[in-house]
Amino acid sequence: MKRTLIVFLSLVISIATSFAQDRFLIEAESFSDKGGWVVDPQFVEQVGSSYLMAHGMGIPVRNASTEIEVTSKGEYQVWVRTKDWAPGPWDAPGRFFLKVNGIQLSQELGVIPEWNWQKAGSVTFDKKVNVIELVDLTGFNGRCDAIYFTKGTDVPPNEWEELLAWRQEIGKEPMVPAKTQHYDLVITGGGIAGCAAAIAAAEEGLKVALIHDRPLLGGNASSEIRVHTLGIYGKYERILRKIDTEHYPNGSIEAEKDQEKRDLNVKSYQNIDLHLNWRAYDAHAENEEIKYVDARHTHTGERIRFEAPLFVDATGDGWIGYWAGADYSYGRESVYKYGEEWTKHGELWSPEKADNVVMGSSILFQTSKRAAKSEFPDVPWAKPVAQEHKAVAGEWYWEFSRNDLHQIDDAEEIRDHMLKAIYGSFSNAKELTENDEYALDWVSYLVGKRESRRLIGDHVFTFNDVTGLTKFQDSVVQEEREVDIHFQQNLKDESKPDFLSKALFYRTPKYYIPYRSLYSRNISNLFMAGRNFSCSHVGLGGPRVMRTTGQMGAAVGFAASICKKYNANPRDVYEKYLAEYMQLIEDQKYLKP
Amino acid sequence: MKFIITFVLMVSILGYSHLPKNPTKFLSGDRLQKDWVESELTFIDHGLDTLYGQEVYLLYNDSGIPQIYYADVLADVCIDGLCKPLFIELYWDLLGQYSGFGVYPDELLSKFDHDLFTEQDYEKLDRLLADPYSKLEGKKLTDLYDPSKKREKVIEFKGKEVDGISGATKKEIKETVVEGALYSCFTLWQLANGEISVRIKENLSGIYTPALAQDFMESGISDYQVYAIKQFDDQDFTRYLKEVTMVILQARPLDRAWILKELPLEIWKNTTFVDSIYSNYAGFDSNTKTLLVNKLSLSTEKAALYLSSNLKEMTKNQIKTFLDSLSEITPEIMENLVAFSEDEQNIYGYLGIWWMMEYKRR
Ligand SMILES: Cc1cc2nc3c(=O)[nH]c(=O)nc-3n(C[C@H](O)[C@H](O)[C@H](O)COP(=O)(O)OP(=O)(O)OC[C@H]3O[C@@H](n4cnc5c(N)ncnc54)[C@H](O)[C@@H]3O)c2cc1C
Repeated sequence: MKRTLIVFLSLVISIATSFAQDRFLIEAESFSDKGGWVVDPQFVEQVGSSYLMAHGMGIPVRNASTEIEVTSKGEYQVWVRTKDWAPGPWDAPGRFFLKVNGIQLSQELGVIPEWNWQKAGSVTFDKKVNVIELVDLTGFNGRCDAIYFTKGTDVPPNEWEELLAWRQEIGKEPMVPAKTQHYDLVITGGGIAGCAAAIAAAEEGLKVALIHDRPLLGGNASSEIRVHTLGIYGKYERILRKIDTEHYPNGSIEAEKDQEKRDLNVKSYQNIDLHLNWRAYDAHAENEEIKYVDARHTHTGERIRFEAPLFVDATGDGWIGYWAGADYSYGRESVYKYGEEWTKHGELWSPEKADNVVMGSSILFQTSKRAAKSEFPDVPWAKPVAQEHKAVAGEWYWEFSRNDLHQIDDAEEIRDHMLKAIYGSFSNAKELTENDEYALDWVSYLVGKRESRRLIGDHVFTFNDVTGLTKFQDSVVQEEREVDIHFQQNLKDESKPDFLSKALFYRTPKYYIPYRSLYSRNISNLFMAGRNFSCSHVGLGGPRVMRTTGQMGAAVGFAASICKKYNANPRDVYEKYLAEYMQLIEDQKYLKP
Repeated sequence: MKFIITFVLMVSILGYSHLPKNPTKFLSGDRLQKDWVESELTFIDHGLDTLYGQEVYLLYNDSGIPQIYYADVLADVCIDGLCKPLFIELYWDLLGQYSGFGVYPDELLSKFDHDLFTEQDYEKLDRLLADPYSKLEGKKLTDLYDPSKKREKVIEFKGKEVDGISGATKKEIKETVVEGALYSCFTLWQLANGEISVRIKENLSGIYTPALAQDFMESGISDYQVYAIKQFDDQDFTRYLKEVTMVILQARPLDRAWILKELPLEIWKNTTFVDSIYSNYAGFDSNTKTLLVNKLSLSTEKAALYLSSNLKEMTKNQIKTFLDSLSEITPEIMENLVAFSEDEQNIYGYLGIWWMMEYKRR
């Protein structure tokens, strides 16, 4: 077991020692042995940090543990930042204990609603090296953000601004990274779009940083989320075959095969500096130009500043653009804005009045039939969501969107709602003897998103570009898969559970996406690729699938190489170097693997 | 065979009136009137699989008001070059939604092994046709038909057979069609939900008269009322407020949302409206609940009072929005807040407590 460096509070540096030993904070995600707990970095912007979660699908997970060095012996009050993720008149599903040097602290944790500090008890340290452990009681997603030890009577703050400031201070973690690294191109988000961008740029000789907040590449296509890639290769078959998937059923463990392929392929490029488990938390722009992206390691808290002349936002959520002040849209445009009507489906396709509705997010899961009967615990806290619904299998249409929820701000609630839907429906199904042998093999804890922020480029790709089969001078992406827009089933039929959707399909011959939809209209050195590209709500309906988003990534990677060659910005590529750029893309067709 | 069919078709075109010949087997909730006395050929559809253009008739009642669309269908259902005729009478409402069917007693529907449809089969067919979002949409027969009849691929990974994966479209489709009658189901679904439906919908503005508008409002059929409301100007909303209120109470969430978004501002202050809608808060779907909370700032104190007694029906964000938009805290509202917060059964009771603590602090 490695020792975790504990961090001491230093309100005033000069008198640090006098306080230092009396209070300290341990970030749960930095535990050296995570046992069966997983690091969840998805909601940093809402929670304030990554956290550890006991995702055991109903079976308590192995203890997480770490060693700490305490230099000031004595009695400490112990606070844990945690959350009851399903508050209500039942035992909280995510309960756990804290153990210090093998002794369990008195208070059951994970029982207060919303992220907050809960008192765990008190502990006396009488030696330097001590072991702390998280003891999961349920296997149902208990969560621990941080642990605070204090000799005083102070209560750690929870109000957002105060908490952030307190955390930086006590964690000796200033927002500004101590380390700065320079690249030709910095790509954030290692979904299929980000991976393709990295490969294309690296092949053209650029020094690339790829920042991705997970240990595995692929985003929704990774074996952690398990969506298969759809769409065509366009001009980039050679590159996209390195990172795409076979047509396995969504949720299938077969995703692991393609995972291995993708990770090996991306890692094989010397000039891709891969930063796995790093999450970007800021992008700074001056005069509408991004100077750097700051990122933090999701386990250790280490920070790096990434400087480059060019940036790609492939986060799916448009984070880089958002932080840098790029124009973006969210929700559905009024049908009149771009004239995206499809009479047959009316409001479901495109509403008369703009609103904040978007396609929902999903959690995929997989079950199997075992040789013997398999038990599943009672989950009363899941029943208000699942109601009477019974299921031993899920699919893409297990999808959740509601008009009071934002796909980014409320992402944790959306994920938790889907967990309740899955556990509740599975538990209902288990009441039937025919399902006695069924057991859960895998439930993702990563929320698979379809739609959130869409950054605005020089061209906004809309449904009209599909129906009109518009051929642009700068068509760099092509697709022939249908445009599909989802809606929640309960909008048409109130008796349906709120976590099921349906799709409306518009079939189409080949259509094209212009390069101008792949760079920001107001941030001069920002490209975007993936589902946060420049499009309307309906425009996203077709090209959000991952071979198409991969094409966008590759197109952007090649554009970056033109930018580098001429010291130009993304818009210049369209205005001054289009012929050369289009030729570079055209040539891809002829390159053999 | 072809000859007989042609003959039947000729006779049907030339010799008979174009009112239905058979009693309807299914007709959406019996909501649509059946006193059709007149028919008018509206268009001929040259879509798929009917042998000749499919004539679609609009049927009128004795006051000359359009009631329903009707087609006497003779379709050819073929597989592997083997064809058999399928006789059925199909209905659509004036919005182009499939509405039911009737069958010929001497030409009952049958499956491919020639067994006749059972009552359950007919019901299943009706359910299928009534689903405009069926997985059959946009499919070709060849997409569904697996000539090699191979067993579905066994999913195996790391030496283990992985079961419990749904999503194979074929499986989903199988669950919704009548067993042994995939091709008939497929053909009928395309007829009921395809081009004809679209053309009927497009036709509506052309036949929409004040009399029909009146008829729609009085029909008790939510879809018709919603259509009528969608043609309203602000004055119409006020004139028909009682009916509009009823529609909001009964319509599908999707339509409710449309109406709530479009209501003229002054209606949110109308006491009768507020009483009927906000007092029924608990009965609405969650999306409607959000819209009603969001509109609180436009509405009255009474609306706030109704909402305060319905906090347990709200989601977390709805409660937050409600609490944020409270302008005046009357004693009754405070009483409701306290009651809500104190009841341990209430999942989000703590939000009330936090809010009251903050309120006291201020
Ligand atoms: C259930 C479901 C079924 C679907 N079905 C299909 C299908 O069958 N086929 C298909 O092709 N598509 C499908 N889609 C759509 C497709 O998966 C998405 O549109 C996909 O997200 C597009 O890829 P992307 O690279 O743009 O984004 P993502 O896959 O979301 O990748 C972006 C990644 O960036 C990382 N990231 C985000 N923020 C940061 C940050 N600040 N710092 C570092 N990293 C960050 C995240 O880990 C994320 O995974 C489906 C989606 C869902 C949810």
